Amino acid sequence: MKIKRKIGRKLPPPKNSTNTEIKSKAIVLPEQSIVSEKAGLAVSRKGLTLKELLQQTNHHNAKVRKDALLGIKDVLVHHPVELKLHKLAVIEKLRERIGDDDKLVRETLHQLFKSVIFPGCGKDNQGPLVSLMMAYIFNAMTHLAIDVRLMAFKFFDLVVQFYPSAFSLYAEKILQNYEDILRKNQFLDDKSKLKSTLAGLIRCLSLLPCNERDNSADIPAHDILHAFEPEVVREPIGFHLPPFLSNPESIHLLCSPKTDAGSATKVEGLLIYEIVWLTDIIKPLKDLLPILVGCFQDFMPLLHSSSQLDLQSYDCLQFILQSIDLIVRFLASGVCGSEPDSQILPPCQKPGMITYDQLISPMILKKLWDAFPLNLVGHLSGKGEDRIFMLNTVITKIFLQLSNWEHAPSALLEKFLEFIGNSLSTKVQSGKMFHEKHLLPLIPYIPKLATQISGDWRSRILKAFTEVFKNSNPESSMKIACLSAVEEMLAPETSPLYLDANDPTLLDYQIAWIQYLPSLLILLDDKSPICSKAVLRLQLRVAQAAPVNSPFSQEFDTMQYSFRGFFSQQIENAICYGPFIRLAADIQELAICCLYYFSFMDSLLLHSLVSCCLCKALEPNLVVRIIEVLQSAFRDGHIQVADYTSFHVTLLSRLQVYPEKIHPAVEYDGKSNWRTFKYVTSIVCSCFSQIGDDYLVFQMVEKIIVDQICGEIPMDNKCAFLRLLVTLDSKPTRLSDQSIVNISHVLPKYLIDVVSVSSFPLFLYLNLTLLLSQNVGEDDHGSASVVSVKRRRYYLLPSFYLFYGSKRLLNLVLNVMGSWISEVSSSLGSPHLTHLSVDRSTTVCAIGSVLFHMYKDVKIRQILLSCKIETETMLQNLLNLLSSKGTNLSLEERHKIQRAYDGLRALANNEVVGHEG
Amino acid sequence: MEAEVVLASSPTDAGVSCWDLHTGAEHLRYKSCASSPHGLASVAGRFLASSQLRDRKSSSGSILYWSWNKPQVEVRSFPAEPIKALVSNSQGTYIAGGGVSGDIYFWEVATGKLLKKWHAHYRAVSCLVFNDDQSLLISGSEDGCVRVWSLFLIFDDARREEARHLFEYSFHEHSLRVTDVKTGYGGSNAIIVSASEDRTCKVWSLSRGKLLRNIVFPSIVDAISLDPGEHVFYAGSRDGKIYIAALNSPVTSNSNYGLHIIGSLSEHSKAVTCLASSADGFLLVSGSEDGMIRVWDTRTRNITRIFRHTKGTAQGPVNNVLVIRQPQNLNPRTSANSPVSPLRRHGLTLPPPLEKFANSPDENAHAKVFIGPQTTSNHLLDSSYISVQTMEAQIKELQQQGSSAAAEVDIERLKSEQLRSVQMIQQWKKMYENLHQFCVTELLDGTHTESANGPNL
Repeated sequence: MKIKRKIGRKLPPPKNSTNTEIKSKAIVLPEQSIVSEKAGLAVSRKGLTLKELLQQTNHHNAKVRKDALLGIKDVLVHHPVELKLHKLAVIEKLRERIGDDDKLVRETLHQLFKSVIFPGCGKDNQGPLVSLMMAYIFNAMTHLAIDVRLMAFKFFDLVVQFYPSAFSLYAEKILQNYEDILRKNQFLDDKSKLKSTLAGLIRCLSLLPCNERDNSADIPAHDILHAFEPEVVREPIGFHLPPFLSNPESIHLLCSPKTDAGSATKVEGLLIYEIVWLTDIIKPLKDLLPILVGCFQDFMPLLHSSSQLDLQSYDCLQFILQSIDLIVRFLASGVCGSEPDSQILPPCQKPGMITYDQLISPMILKKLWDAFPLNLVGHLSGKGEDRIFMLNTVITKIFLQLSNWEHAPSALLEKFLEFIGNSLSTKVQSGKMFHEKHLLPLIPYIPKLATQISGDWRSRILKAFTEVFKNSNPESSMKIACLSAVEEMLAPETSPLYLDANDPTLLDYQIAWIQYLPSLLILLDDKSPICSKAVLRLQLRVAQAAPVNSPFSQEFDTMQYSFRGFFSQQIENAICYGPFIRLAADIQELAICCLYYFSFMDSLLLHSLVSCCLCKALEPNLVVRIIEVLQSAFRDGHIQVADYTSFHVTLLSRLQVYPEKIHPAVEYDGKSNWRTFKYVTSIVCSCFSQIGDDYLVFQMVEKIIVDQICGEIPMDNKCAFLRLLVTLDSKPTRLSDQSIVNISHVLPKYLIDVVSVSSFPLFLYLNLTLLLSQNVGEDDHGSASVVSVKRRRYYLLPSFYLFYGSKRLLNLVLNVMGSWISEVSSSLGSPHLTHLSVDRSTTVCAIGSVLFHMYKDVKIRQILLSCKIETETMLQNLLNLLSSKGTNLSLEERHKIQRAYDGLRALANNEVVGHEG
Repeated sequence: MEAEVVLASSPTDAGVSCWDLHTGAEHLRYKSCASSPHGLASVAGRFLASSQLRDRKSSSGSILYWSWNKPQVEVRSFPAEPIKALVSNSQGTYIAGGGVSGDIYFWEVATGKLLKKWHAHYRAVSCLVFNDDQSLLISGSEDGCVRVWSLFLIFDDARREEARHLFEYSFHEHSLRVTDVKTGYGGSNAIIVSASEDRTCKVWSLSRGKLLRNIVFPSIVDAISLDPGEHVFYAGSRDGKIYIAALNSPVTSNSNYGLHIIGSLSEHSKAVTCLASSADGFLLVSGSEDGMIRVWDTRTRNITRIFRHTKGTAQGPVNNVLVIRQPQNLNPRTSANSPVSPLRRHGLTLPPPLEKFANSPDENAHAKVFIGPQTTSNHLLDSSYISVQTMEAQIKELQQQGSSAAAEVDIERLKSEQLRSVQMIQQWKKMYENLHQFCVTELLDGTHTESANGPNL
């Protein structure tokens, strides 16, 4: 049965009740809950705002804290503006979690800082940020739980990574903290922790200043010379030193055991904290050293017991040694402390090499030396051997960094020398990249070794070094390191052993190095410009410093035979260009400078140079440089006159000129080298005029030049030789009769070529000049014709100068031209010489044009007027040509020739003198 | 404006010509001089010295002296090797010469003693210059090196032993021969500018010892001249132009020639070989390969005057120009031939020739250089720096001259002089008292009387 109950049936409202409902369109209540309304705010995936999340980071539940951190990451990633706005607030809150008890929370926080916050904060205004962090990091560093402490170091590492200046601000305290944590010796069981701690330490230590700063490269080109020094001193990379510390001299004044009056006054001006900084940092570093050595020793039993070195322990050892290395480098470099000299020396004599190892007591490192060389018991795998080798190189480097190592007990010294000698020579045998990489740090110490040790070891090490130098891969960094070591051993300023004739062993090696350089250059080709540059620089230094008649200068002179190949080589009538052509301009410049220092230059070297100059790929500017340098060399008597002149003559006769018009743009990049050739010509002319007495020089080169002019060479080159001849010649000419006759045979052809190339219609020109001023004509043809007029003048002028000097030459030339006209007219009669008739009118017109240009020149006109007979003959010939009945001249040709004749007739009769004058 | 003269010499044997810079009047021409580049020096305006170009074969060099009023060479010295660059310090006490072997010779002018000789460069010294306080000698060489020498160190035996090298700085950024070096003002804080055949000029700081600026020119620069204000320097180049390079302005990149070069002076001449500027810096004098000496106004950049060094049509290059204050006893050509010039009567003689070799060591040990207080006297003939030997010689001379009788006479004279002085003092005292009295009464009375200028005064 179904019982039907009526539940909730309401009574109808009483009739007498009052309606209490309030009706309105909308009710606006002030917001009460932050959870409720988030439109327009940045929220995380879970819908929480940054503020809420930050509050949650304090939650007692670790999971909530972690989630909050993840949420913050989420917000900041998606809304980078939030970070910009609330940077400090966020950090202020988050830093509380650095010392969090929960591992996961700490790691999440680390991630958050690493991936989002620090990269997003930018480099500006880091001061408050760093100081906010550091307070809590230091706190965490002294936490009871070891994990928290380790994490704190990781956090600090992160800070330093992004803000390297943080280390210099807190250096002392940080180093003390490292000391504490390493002292505890809790790491043998967990090497990865030790490793990460040491990685942070190495990062800090590598920020320590060392005086191996290379300031050769910086030339403040943009400064105003006499302006005040800029306020901000450039910081060494990554390390923010107080300004005065960037200056090594002032550093030398610091921390000295005795401070005399002179330096005290200098120190006076410095701020207290600046002085304190360095002294403060030295002590913790010194304290840290024995602890690191202790850590190193902790591994010794492991090494002695096992036959295998696992990667973890190897990394730890590597890091420990690296830290020691960095500390020793800093303490030994003299940056931190040294005795100022009692006298205030001029800045150049700063005692750069005097360092003060008393900061490092010998006892500290003795344990390290005792352990050297590291060896594993039993059989070694290849990998284990390599690892041990690497550790040994680092220890050797530490040893060599001490400046007083040469006073070490001989047994110890021998141990190291043996290692260096062996490793260098095994390197050569094995040729492994691995060894090469790890030997690299030892190479810079070779020069010091070469100066300070003696006897058998020295020659052994030098020999091994020479082998390494010669056999290393030409493009490797090893080569460059070797080169700088060689430079140090050859450079006169830095090396006291330079050119010591009493030291035959070294001299032999030095000479071997020098001899190797040119072949290295050729070997390098253009593959490693840095290396090529280093080689050439070294070569230049050797050349500059080699005293005359010393073995070095002799070596350098013989170097030219192999140096030749660097420029070009003649192989079976083909020229094979060396690397020179392909290298960058600054390297080419260096190579050219080397040339000056050869005390003599043989003709073969000049030959290879000239073929380089003729190469199209060579910058025109460098051709000029080569000529300049050769000129200086010649002036100093390094080149024979005959070689010198033949260099120039070859250059002028074989340098090809590409005018813009004739050759299309494709082949020569649209650039004409006409201007270059003109410039080269003028330089060669001035070179010749400076050889010595003009008369003698003329005597010497007359025949060569005349031969060249008479030879089959292009017009431009001919012009260059004519100019050269004119430069050396005087008025009246010094040319021999034979030369005049020879030249007179070729000059008419040259002149005709010139006027026909300049392609300016003669008749038009004649008309215009006879009727109007020149300007109208030029306007018609635009600026191109202005250029061509100028250029024609350039070609014609040298021959005119010859005419000024020798009337006879002019006579001969006129005769030749006259005979050509009559030849034309006679040839016209005979039908079988049709090939001549093609250009008969052009030839005749060209001759007319040549004469016209001659008349335009005032001086030539005077000479022409005095050779009435020749001109008359020529006109007569023209007339004959026109009047001869048998010719088959076309109407146009006849017209042209008639024009030319009329113009010339007018000129010859001196009708235009008034006009031209 | 003080009268300045231009001196020019050439490598061909064309003598030293001499003109007034401002009027253009030609003075005496000094004969038989074939100077080497940078080899002409006026020794404190007292006389003229020049190192001579010699045959390659001859082992010894030659330095000639001329006095201002005679065209002939007066003193010839023959140093141990050919000297290229020659310079004298501003007081004319020392002459420094740079030899072809790279040695620098340092002579005392008054005695001709070779005070010091040291190996300065690997190759020939091409130019030498003193800095403005005369304590540093700067040398440029054919090996491309510019070195700065402190004379204090050179003459300080003890410190020289200690020092690892003699030079203060050795700049070897130039890859080819250094052609000219000039220094600015400011003692050891000055800048120096060096030019080289590698087409660059480099500006160095003497205080910091480093390269400040590297300027690449379109051609080789053979001569430089610094503007007295050190705003610009002028670089005379082989293409015949004189480039103006900025020192003090920020980089200007709108120039046609290259960075830092702000303009040029050019007149289509041949290579410019030497430059000099007048004391006020407004006139620049350039010598050229074509034998002309051009005077430029640096403000308008125009030529104001041209001198021709060689006579006739022969074109000998000029390789030295100097601008110096007109020497007192320099006579214009018109009066050069007057038989008795007043100075000749005074017995003006030139110092002895320069010695070939340094003294024996014991004598040398005695030769401590004495630097006297600088006198502002106008007597160019007084040298303020003299060595101990010279002074001793003078003392000896005096001692020999003065007998005891002469001394007594001297004492008598001094005594009477003293008496006179005492009297003088009394007189002055009296006058002072009178004046004092007068003033006091005047003040006390508080009245102004017309008879203030009383008979007392």
